[in-house]
Amino acid sequence: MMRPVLLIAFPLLFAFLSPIVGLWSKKWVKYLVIFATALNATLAGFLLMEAIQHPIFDIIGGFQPPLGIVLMVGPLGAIIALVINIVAFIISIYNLKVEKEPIVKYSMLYLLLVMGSTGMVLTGDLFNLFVFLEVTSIASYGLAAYNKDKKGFLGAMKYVVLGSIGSTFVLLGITLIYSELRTLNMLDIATRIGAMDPYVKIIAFTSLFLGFGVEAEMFPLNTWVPDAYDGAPHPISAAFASLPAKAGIFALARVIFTMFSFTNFLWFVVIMGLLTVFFGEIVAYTQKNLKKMLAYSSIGQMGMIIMGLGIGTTLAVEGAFYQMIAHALGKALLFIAAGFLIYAAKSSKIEDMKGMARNPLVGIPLLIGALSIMGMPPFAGFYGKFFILMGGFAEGYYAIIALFLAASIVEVAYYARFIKIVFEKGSKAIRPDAATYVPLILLAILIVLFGIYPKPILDVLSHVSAFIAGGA
Amino acid sequence: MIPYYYLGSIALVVIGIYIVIAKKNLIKIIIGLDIMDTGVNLLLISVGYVKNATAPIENVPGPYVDPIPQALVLTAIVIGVSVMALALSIAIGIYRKTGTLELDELMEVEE
Repeated sequence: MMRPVLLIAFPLLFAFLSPIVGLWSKKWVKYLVIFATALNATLAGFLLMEAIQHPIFDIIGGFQPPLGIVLMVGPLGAIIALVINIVAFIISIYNLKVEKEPIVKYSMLYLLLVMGSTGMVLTGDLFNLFVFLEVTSIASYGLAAYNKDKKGFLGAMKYVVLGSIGSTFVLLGITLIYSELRTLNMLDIATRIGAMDPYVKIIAFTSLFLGFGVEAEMFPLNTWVPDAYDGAPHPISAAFASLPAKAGIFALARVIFTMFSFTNFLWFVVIMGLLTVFFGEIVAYTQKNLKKMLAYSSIGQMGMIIMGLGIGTTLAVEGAFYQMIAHALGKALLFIAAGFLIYAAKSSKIEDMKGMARNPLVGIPLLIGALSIMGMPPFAGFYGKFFILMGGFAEGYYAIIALFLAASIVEVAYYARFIKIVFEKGSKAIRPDAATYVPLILLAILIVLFGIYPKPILDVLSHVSAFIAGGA
Repeated sequence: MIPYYYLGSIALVVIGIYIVIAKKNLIKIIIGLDIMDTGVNLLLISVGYVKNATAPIENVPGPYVDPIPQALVLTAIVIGVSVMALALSIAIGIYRKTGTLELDELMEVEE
């Protein structure tokens, strides 16, 4: 029996061990982070193998649920935790490129970010979810401001303001649920949700939805995304797109399916998702700054995931989860590549990057990542979009599907423009060093693997119907 | 019947949101966030209130107030304080880099 709490305990241990290691050697702190995330990814793999057979419940501190805190890991939670930890491990290799001091604090915050995101996915207690949300956000605020330049500070400030509004709304939703039901355990809430006053129920749902929507980059509350991504160090931009965003969207899925099991209110979620897609893709098309373009594209992708959750059929939610996995891998890859391109071109403008990706060590993974994000077969991104589309068709949302496709075409247009510029004949192609191309190649291999051989993932995602029905 | 302290806490949340949206000074915005936080904390603590009840301590005869909201609100206050500290330190950083905390001026500097 593998205890899911280890996935939270180990990063915490290593996070607070890193100042002690830092006294001895600054360099070894970075290797400690790689070791910690690799260990976590391995543990998450074992957790997934066990969670596929039966949902795991881990009671913390000896207090019986519903009073005590319980971790609740189903197959879907386990696979998202696995993806988060694998990407965290791969990004921690790229972390070797970070030279700016204080590297010890950077490593600590990075491990706390990993720990918070993993915790948000694993927990089965609503208030515990809030605490992990706050751990994740505080670590992200600190990392967003890590460069200590004007861009970083302004991005972090926007993030702090919107993030704390979001967490206040989450706390408001939790308070309303507690005041009616006197419980914080998610499964307990789910069984008794019918006893809630319908008005309080809708206010609580909206509060939680908007609150987690901040982390999940949902439309009205996502203006922090481009600035925070642009101002943060390159590995952190990659981490933002893959760790807290995925944890936030999983929390959103928990709220929608596990706790409230809404069926007649989901059009609201679909509309919010569609607005997010449009806002993200259209603004991304106008961007000249590479990292901002990727950040807006990330908003668009998250909108697609929210739409998939909102359509709410087995197929569409399966697609949403596949899209989460594909986006975590693909966007991390693109941000790492963007870090290299910005370093090579000494500018963040796309037009200055002529021919910078002609070195195959960067170029091929970059191409794979961009094609996967666009949703081309045979890469991982294809299945997610395809399933969301098919799910929408089956439900008869034709107008929404048409708009979704239109937004995807905009996405293809700006990625094609970007690819054309970076592969043009330019002045010189700079060779990347190992800390850059190893993570790029690892991510590209995973994307191709999940695209050509999706069966293991689809096997795990076949548990989606149980998840929608309100299971773990 | 909605108890009056519910109205008070909702008012605090609304005032906080208004400050965050309407004010142009970063410090004022941070104060607005704090007011909002306080409002939700007040709501949370009042949810567990029972009239004429005492603290849930062993050997003290009941009725007791609900102890869980108290535990939750302690956690929420600690989290709120750390977010405030971080927000203020980022504001200090912005002031050192740009020499202003007014949002209009910051947006001009950015272009």
